[in-house]
Amino acid sequence: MKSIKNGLLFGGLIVLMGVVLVCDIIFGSVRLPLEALWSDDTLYREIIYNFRLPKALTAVITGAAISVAGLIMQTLFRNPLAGPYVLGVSSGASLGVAVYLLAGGLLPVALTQSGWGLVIAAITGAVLVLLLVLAVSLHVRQAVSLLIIGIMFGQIAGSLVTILQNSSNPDSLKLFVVWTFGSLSAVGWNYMQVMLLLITVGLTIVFAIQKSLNGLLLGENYAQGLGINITRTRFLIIVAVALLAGTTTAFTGPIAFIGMAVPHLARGLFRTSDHSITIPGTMLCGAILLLLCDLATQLPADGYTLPINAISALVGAPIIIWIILKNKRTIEN
Amino acid sequence: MLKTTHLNIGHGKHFVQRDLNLSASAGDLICLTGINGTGKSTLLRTLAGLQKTLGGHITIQGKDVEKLTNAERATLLSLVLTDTITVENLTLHDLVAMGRFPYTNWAGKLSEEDENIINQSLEQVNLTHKANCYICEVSDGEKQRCVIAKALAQDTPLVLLDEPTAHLDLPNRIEIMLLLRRLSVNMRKTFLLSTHELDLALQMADKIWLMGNDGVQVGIPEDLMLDGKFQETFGSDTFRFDETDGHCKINHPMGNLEVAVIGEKPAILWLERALLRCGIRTVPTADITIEAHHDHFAIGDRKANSIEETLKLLAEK
Repeated sequence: MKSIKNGLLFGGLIVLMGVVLVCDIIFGSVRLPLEALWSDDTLYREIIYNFRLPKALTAVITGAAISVAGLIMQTLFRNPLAGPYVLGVSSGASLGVAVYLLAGGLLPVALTQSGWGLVIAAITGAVLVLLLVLAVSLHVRQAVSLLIIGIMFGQIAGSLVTILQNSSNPDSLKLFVVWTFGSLSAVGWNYMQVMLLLITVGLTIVFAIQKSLNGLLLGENYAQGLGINITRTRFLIIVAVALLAGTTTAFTGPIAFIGMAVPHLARGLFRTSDHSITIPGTMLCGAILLLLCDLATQLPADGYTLPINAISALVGAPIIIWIILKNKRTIEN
Repeated sequence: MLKTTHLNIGHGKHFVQRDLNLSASAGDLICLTGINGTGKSTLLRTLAGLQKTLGGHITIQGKDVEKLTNAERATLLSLVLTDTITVENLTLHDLVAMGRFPYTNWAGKLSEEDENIINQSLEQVNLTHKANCYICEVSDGEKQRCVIAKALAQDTPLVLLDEPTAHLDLPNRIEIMLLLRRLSVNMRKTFLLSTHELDLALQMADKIWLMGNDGVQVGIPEDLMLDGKFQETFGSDTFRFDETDGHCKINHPMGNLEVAVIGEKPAILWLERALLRCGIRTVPTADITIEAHHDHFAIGDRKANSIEETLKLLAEK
């Protein structure tokens, strides 16, 4: 009964993602006819293969990855407000990228070309902030307080970035400012390989520890009582979040609130907290939502697009307010 | 079954209790009680492996607990803690299913046998009809019974419970204690629970571990009471344990007024309690005599319909 319902939901979500994916490929600064998808016209193929398809795939991968990062952060912190953006992990990744782009003129070209340098910088920044927030979370139990501390870490990272910007040359500055807007179209096929590889590793870790994640829902004491190795699980969660959030932030810029909001959508939709359901559910919902956000950035038309971050915040922030209102009691305690 | 030898417990360098030599047998229902700060929770947490020992050994079925991995320990003891469970969208069935974690594969796949054990556990605590309800929708008593079912599903010879009856109303407290008593008899499991409910503990426990500032007194409730151990441990000027029924009695400050009381039970018993509470002595030879009848009270020729009115009459004198 329940598994049939879940099967239907998964089926529906996959179909929906297919439809949105096709829409995302067709609509853009130039609108393509549906036939373009299978026509032999070299111009269409060029546009689809080199621009639209990588962009749509980036939206799918990024949406799935940051949402799962948000899901496991919420489990780790036992806090419905946790997420890569709100707890400053994205800011940490930005700081890494800023250091890399603004001060990293000295790095070998091989690193910059493949995207590895960018990713490593972002992941390092993400790990640093995560460890800081985790250390603080051991002392601060209140959900909202942790949120404020996360925002403060984000602010500190932001200030450091501003200081870096002030003392850097205009060319790298422009590169960085464009990056901060968040863009799904910056990922070409060469970057895609790196991104896909790291995200796959991150998601594999998450799937492998799903049982421990379920145990953690009850709190660390109960989890330990059920035979779960807490230290190892926590370490793996941090590695996975850093890979998922760090990698996506490196390539697309910080994307606001999606990571925090989507797990709530998935849990609400499937009416379960079981990670064997919520992990794939969150991936699908995240991919669909980010594809929709990307479609929304095309709305102005005339070859002009909005930054993805503006749209994702517009969608995500109200969801956060709704969650705070809905969980008022649990959040305050 | 459970045995501690020269066990020291505490936090970091701060010892709470030293040299504890305790043991429990299969099927025992043991109540751990004592005044706050003597280390009840610390002892439970240490036995549970949530906290390091500061010396000495703990063995369960002959196995040294400190040398076991988490997963191995989880097959020997299960926990019912005071930690609140606030998971959204978690059904009672799924919570109990978590008890099977030590036995399932990496993905937590439940076999048919696992499902049987989960259903039996839910049945033991009378929650079968609520298996598909969500944990945030049921009452505190049902939630606590469900956590106990989780511990049963974990299928361990020893179950540790930290104040399982705290925050529950009287009927639920009694129901939980009766449930544990029945399970300890039927399933030969050992239950060790910390509690402040002396009355319940005295009536239900096979054994009491009474924690004082300098060690743990062990015995069956009646022996400990007869030997005055409770008075020793909880000892205070403000109350005492009644030697005849084990209930705790408050030592009320007494005034100068003395009355004699004659009459029928139970009216006379409750009248005496009311007088005691108000600091009025009952002395057979006193000048004022109160007669207690089943439907009224009388002081000389004046009548009162309730104890409250009787007290008012006394106040006038």
